[in-house]
Amino acid sequence: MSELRESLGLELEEVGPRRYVARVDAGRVVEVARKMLEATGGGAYLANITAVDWPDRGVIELAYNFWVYGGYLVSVRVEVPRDAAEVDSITPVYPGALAHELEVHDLMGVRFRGNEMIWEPAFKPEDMKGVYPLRKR
Amino acid sequence: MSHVVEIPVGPQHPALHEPILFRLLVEGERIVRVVPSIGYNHRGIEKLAETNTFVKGLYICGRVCGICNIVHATTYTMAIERIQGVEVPPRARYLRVLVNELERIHSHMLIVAVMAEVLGFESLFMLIMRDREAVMQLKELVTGNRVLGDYLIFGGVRRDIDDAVAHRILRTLDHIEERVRYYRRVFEEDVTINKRLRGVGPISRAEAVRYCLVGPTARGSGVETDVRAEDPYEAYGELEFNVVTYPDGDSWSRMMVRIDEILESIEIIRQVLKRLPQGQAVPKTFKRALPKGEAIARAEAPRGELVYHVISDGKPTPYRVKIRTPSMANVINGIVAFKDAYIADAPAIIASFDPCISCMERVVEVVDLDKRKSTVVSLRELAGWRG
Repeated sequence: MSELRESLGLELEEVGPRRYVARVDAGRVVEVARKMLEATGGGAYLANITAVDWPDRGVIELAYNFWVYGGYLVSVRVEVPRDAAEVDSITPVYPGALAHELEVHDLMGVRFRGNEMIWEPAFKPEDMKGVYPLRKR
Repeated sequence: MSHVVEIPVGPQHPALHEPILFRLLVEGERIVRVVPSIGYNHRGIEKLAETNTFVKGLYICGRVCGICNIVHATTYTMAIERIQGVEVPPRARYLRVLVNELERIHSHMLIVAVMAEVLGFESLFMLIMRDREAVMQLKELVTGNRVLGDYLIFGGVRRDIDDAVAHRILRTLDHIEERVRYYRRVFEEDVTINKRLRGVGPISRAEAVRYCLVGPTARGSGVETDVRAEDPYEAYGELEFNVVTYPDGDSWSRMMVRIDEILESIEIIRQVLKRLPQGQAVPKTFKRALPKGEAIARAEAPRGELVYHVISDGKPTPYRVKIRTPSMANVINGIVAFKDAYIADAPAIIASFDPCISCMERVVEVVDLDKRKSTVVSLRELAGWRG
């Protein structure tokens, strides 16, 4: 764990058994994903992206939950403003992020720069384009 | 001159668990690209969970998937119990493992049967489904229902078992083991099955990691990952079992992982019944309220890693319930396996992901993009099956 902590260069806070949280700037998300893949020698994957709307703070929080095989979950948290919800896509590093980015884009309205494969509406009915049902208001 | 034809496979079928449309772009007989089209059955369960109490959420989450409802309830309950700080009695933890493994056995038997049907072996499909029914009855014996168990409650389970039930489970599993060993031999030795599955839809280990594949799909590509072993929950940390992997990454490997896992699950259940601790399993009462907090619970569903990310702000309803089902990762990202495959192999590749499809028989429309002509053929015809 300490080796990974060093090679990732992240402040990892232990929040439970085998659960760690790191908070980073939204601009660093691709760099962190690349480090996650390379520092583990291809031994970590993106389990999911949880998007949470915090209207009082005016942000949408994205939790990129990476599972490192055999060991622990690293939840990388970034925040994007609600009114300009945009972040770089990590599909160049993890093409499998497509499914997760697609869902977050469709239901929470976060744009993923550089992901050309996203379409809308994907999960929603046709007439809900531009409506993001998981936002609190 | 290249001549790209689009073949939409899907989306609707009354028996299909998750209606999905695969738009196969083909050149001659080779698939050049696959575009999945989803959302036909999106029920807004995450939003629904936010507007209902935590206890009602247990029943909502138990209805995300018909086949693996117990594991959904298990993972949701684990997240809630972690936020509450509730300790589950040992007997309840063992019983939870018991029902989860029964579910894995019948789910894996279902997809092995469906794969047999896709390959044209109708009798084999019927035989496996007949044997599977015995497992469904065991599930009914323990939970009270063949399909929707609703067996869990915060802090324990709803019903206990006695020696007579344990005896019947063991007796039935002896029979199931014998049958599964036979089906394993069929999948290993039958010439047609081998020709239709070996080398079809290969995914390398590196691809499986980068495409974030989970469960038997990842293990079929040699990735040694299993939540039960890596991130033990309930009583899995006290039980011995093997993580089954196959190195080749083809459709055959993915099926063999599942067949071997049925045998592992039978062993797990034998250990559970042998070591079942005494004591209370059914709580007399349970806590309904949650303090502020969050938990990320993971469990190994039959199709792979299932994630529940629950956030509570101290109110009677959850602030956020995020559900990541294994099919979500495997089906959308599994398109990598279709590259350069033959059209006739598409049904076998789709079935090898176990995408919650209870019956693969459906109608597809073949559209010639250049001539704008369309014809309708069944998936069986597409698979080259002559009945």
